[in-house]
Amino acid sequence: MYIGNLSFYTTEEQIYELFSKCGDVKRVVMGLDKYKKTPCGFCFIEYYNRADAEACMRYINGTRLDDRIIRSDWDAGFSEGRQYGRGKTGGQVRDEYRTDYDSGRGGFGKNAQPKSAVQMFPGSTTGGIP
Amino acid sequence: MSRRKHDEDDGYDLTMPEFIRPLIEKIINSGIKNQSKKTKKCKDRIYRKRRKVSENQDIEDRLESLILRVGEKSTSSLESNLEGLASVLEADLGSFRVKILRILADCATNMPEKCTIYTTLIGLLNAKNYSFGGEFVEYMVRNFKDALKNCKWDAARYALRFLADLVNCHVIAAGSLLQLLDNMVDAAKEDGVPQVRKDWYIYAVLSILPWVGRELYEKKEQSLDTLMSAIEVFLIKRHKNHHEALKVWHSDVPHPQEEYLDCLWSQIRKLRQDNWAEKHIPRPYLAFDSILCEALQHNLPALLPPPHHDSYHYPMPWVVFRMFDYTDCPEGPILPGAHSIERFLIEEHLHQIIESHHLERKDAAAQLLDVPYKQKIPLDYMIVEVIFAELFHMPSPRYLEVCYGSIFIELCKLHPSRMPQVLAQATELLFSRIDSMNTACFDRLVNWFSYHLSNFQFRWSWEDWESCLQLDPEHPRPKFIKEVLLKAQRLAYHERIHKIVPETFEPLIPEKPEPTFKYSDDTAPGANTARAIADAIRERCTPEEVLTGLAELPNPRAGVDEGDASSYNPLKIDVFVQTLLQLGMKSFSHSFAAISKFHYVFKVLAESEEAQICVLRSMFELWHNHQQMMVVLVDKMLKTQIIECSAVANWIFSKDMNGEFTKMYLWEILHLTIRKMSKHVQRLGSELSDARERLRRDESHSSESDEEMGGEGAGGSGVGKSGSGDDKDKPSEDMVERMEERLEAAQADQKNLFLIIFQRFIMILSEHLVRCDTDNRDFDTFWYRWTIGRLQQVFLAHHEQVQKYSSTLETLLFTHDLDPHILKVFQQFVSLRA
Repeated sequence: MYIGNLSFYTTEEQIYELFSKCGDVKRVVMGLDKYKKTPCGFCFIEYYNRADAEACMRYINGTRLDDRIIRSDWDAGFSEGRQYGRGKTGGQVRDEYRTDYDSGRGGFGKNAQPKSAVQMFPGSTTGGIP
Repeated sequence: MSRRKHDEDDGYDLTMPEFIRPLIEKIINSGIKNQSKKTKKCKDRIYRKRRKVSENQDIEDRLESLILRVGEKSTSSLESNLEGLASVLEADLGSFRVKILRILADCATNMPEKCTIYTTLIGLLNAKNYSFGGEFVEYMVRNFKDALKNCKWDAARYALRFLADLVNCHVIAAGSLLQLLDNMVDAAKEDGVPQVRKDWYIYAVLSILPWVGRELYEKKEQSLDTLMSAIEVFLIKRHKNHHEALKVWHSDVPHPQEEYLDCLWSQIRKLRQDNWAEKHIPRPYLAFDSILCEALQHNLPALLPPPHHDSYHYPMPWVVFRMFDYTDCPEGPILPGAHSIERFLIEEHLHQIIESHHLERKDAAAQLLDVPYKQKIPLDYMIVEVIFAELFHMPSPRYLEVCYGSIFIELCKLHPSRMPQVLAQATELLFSRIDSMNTACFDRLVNWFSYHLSNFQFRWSWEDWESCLQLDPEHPRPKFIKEVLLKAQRLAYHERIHKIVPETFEPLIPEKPEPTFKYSDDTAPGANTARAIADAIRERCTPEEVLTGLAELPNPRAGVDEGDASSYNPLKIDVFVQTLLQLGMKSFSHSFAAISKFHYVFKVLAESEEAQICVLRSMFELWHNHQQMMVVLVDKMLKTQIIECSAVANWIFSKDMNGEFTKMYLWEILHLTIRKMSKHVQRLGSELSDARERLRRDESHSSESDEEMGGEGAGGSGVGKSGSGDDKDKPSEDMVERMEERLEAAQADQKNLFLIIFQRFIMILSEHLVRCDTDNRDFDTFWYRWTIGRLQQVFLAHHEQVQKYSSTLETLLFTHDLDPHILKVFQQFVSLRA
């Protein structure tokens, strides 16, 4: 599973605690900034059983962790390399175009381009701490 | 395709449009758009034929949708919709009889909340077409029987209720229903069958009386009285040992925690006192009385409940959870009393909504808030009570705990002006009654509340709970706050928890989850070695090099021969485990990676159970301030078979863990250990039965193909091989035998694990009781209550597994000379399925 809209400060421990409520977690792979190797707001989670992942989609997707509404999605599975942000600056692409101030995700977008942000990444500016 | 066949098709084809036109018109009239009116214009025969099939399908789908949707919000009245639908269906009975029969019967069992709507529809159809009425009754009776045979108890109950309500619609004669009910009550008089079976039959009969009681009272008063007395006799004689174990609270103040049959019996008796007048159930058939009373009635065929079979599983008994009465809901409509039949009917409906929508929490919340009678009752309170009833259901909730948590969140979002307030009031009530709450429910409440808070910025009026700070820390109230904060810290972080509670709560704030590394003190024996292997591990050394590094450490256990298989060196273990885990302290992933890289070292150092307990002790000393870390580390070490389940159990009950014994996390560890073992046994069991099945199929397959070979020559030889895809790894007799051995070994381990756990419980509890007795002190301390509670929890949470070893436990551990306080827990457990 892919989990998004995490705070940069959310730890693997917290993710374990929340997602274990749906079943035995096989592993958590934290999404890291390509250069700084610090968490950059997403992660991958593997469950042993598919039913547990389904429960996660049903009951955890759209609820809060560290005061942020987190989003879960089906994912083909983690492979080496995918744990890194794909933005130019090392983080997630969405954080480069974000125009709001999101203290949970490193303040303002790194490369804010107000016009394209809304068009290219609708919904990317929701859920932050004001 | 032969010419002849084609002709037949053609003939059939030509008759189509005539019969289909009125049907389509009717469907259009009833408000559904139809896009396929141009059938006649089709020139291509084949196209037309295909069209016909799809059109039939179309009509069936439309009929189905009409039937499914009747009773939903509509611009016209329910009565006129029912009348219209009955006419449509009547006209289509000629061609779609079976289909209509099936759809209606499915609705009857799948949409029990619309029972009376569909019985009215059947009543109207029966008035128009007596033989169809008869067929439907027959079909429904068959469904009922099948449900009984297949242990689908709810489906059976809904089918029975439907049949009963058909008496109200003049489809079934009252006398024949009473005969069926009598037969069911007779099933409860049988000897030598489990009580849970008898219970179910009585429950099924009682729970349909709100629907049909009045009609039976009017038509067959005497027979109804006889039925009621028979039920009363049964209830008086019934054993209720299980009752205590299933209660959410030990105390019956302020609300008694009634056994479900007793509660329903009181409700039905109250209904009887009111002359069976019931005002909650909508009864659309009343409007059609003049039509329905003209109709002829059918008699139910003679029906005896299928006899008991050992493979049958009946529903377990439960306790009716009540946390509110009318004084708790000060504004608006009045909460129906605990023994009013409305309370039963509404609760059952709300449980049903949760059942149908538990996969979609948003729908569940919306449906719960939108019941048709919402103006007449304090709905918020009833919803909250029903969801907590499910969450606290013993031995385990129907669905995941987080399912209920997420429904509560949605309810708060959908109804922000009321729901958060009612939920807060409920939490206050639960907290004020927590002193007598059963331990399993205490855990669930802690988990839910911390989770709920984490979704609402941890806002809570903590000041109101300040008075508990004066209490003994083992008292359930301060304990609850402490455990909530611990769980909240897992979902957030230490500094946050500091901020959310007032400063006075300092004693209850969890420690910062950091390691306590013994060997950072240079004077500790082994500190030099610890530093050396830490450096080596950082330099990416091999497991063998670590072992070499540890070799010089002396064994503090005097007189142990190093070569002995049972020998182990606690200092080596401690230096290694602490150093390795300290290096992996940064995150779970780091720790896991460290463990798997040096798996070999663990295996060499900790072969025996005692040595494995040393590993656990070292881990505890390092991480005692980080409970979650200990939970995941134990889990990991079990998975990687560094430690065995029995070692964990013995460690938990060891003297070292005395100080931790009443903390929730330790039991989290024990339960995950037991579950791990159970899953292992289950997996081996299902693998074995799979293999046996394949072997059996393979044998029958090869004998078939032999025959084919004889009959058809060489052509049949390939069948055995290619017949089924899973043959490629077909098991041999040997393999199956080995699997049997593995399963037996695992079952022996499982039994051993339970024996250890229960024996340790018995030891510490007996010791406590004896000591209190000799010291002339009250034995009923907080420690005692927590410990008995944990014992109960082990029995109930794993009852399906423990059940298998019930008789061993009875002969070896829970013998009659045991203190009755401890023995009672076992007896309650046994009576769950008695």
